[in-house]
Amino acid sequence: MSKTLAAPAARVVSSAVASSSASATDTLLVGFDWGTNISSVQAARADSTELLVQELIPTVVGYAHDDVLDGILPGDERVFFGKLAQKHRQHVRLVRPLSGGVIADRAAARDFAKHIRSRLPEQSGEIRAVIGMPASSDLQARENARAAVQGLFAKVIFVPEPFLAALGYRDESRLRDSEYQDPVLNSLYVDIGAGSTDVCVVQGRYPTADDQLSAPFAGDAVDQIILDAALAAYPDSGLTLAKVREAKEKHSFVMGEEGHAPALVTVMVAGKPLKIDLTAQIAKGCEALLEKTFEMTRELIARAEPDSIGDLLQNVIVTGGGSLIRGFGVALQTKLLEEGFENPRVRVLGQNYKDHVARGALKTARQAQDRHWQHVIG
Amino acid sequence: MNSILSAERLVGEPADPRWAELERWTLEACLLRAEGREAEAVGVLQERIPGLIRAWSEAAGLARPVVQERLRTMFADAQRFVARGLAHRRLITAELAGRAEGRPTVAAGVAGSGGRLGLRRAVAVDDVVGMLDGLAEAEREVRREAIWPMRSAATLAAARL
Repeated sequence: MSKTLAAPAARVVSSAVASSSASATDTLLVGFDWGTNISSVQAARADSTELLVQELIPTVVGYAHDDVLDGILPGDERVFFGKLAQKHRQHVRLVRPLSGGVIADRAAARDFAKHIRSRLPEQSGEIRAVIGMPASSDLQARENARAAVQGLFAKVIFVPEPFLAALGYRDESRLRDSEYQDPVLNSLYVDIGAGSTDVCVVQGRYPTADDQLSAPFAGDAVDQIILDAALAAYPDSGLTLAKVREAKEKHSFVMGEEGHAPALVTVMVAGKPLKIDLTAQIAKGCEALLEKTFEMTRELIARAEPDSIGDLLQNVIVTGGGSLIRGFGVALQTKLLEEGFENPRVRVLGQNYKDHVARGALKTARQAQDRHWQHVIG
Repeated sequence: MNSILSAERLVGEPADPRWAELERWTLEACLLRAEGREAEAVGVLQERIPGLIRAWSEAAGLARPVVQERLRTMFADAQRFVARGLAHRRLITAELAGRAEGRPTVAAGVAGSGGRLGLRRAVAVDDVVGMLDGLAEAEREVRREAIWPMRSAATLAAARL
């Protein structure tokens, strides 16, 4: 979080002293994973298990350029969100409200939060949201987030994302199934986001600071490595971070992933399309991420109780955007094996990883007591 | 270094730097524990303090029961000072935090002072209510710390006794 941001004037009042105007039946509960690249929102009424909203939205806001002619943008609107903003990137200024999992642009964050609110059903009762935040987020980050949702949600609770991921990933209906491996009993979670890589051990209890490692090296850093290497190889290519990110999302891979297609990217040079090969550059960025992740994983395993390590190694779970890198799980498992760890097993959550945090947030919202909710006065 | 914890008992005695060092690290261990930095507190208690005790007790040449009694008293003092500092701080920061609500300039000062989101005690994964209670406790502690750092509160409490 940039320290230059002024703290918002959001007023926080404990729900214990604020009167609640909503009964359980007309309260809408929201689980919100506000991610740097992608946000996930799930919503349900307090008295129902039916999901009314389950949506993934790229965390980006597009502000129309001043010189866009009428009729170019849908409805001649000036602000767009998510995929629509990305679709019209030529005519809008794309702003990512978050950086490293916390708000970096207050105005864009506020606009994005309003958009999230607009995706929820019309509501006579109050809306209560449990919002996932990086465990490393500071008080300033929470104040900024409160300000962004001020007046949009009646009450909020901020919970570290690793807690919500563990809760969301757990399937309580299968706990009596002897075949089911409960992911919160003894697991090591690797969450590779855009701004940070977080590794934490969950051994039947929520991780404390001693059970976690966080490094500001993740997807954004990989993008920068790829861009630097690509511009060194193709100085006139006019490559941008956005283009590199697009190429990475399509072509990323790490060692051991044989037979991947070359990462050919079309760029415009002097008005003409030119195909350039970014395979080596993407490999360099992804390998750097793998190495960093491996180091953190190794360090956290070394901290665990010796008797628990055998089972822990059977449950290394990779989540976050980085988990979508082809071959990442196998490569991490191979490196652990080569390091001498016995029979490690790495699982990758893949495309639906974002749902776990939002699902965990919704589960948390259902169990939260009145005293936990912070009333954010608009 | 002057004695932090037991000035009244050391009046007239020559200052023993080994004892002062032992007191300093004992207070540090208690502060770390109060700050929720359990692993660091254990590190101090297990790795630093035994050697300091050994060095002091060998040099002091006191009878074993006397050594044990002094150590017991000193540890109790350290815990008492930290507890007293915490109590003072809780009373005062609750008032200050209440005044900060709705006042952006005060809130900005509080918000800019760090404080990660997390638990300071173990909570079972099944216990969502306990987890939320723990987070709320930690958040209150972060706000107190931002207004009046616990170290300065505990040191002040020690100095006044």
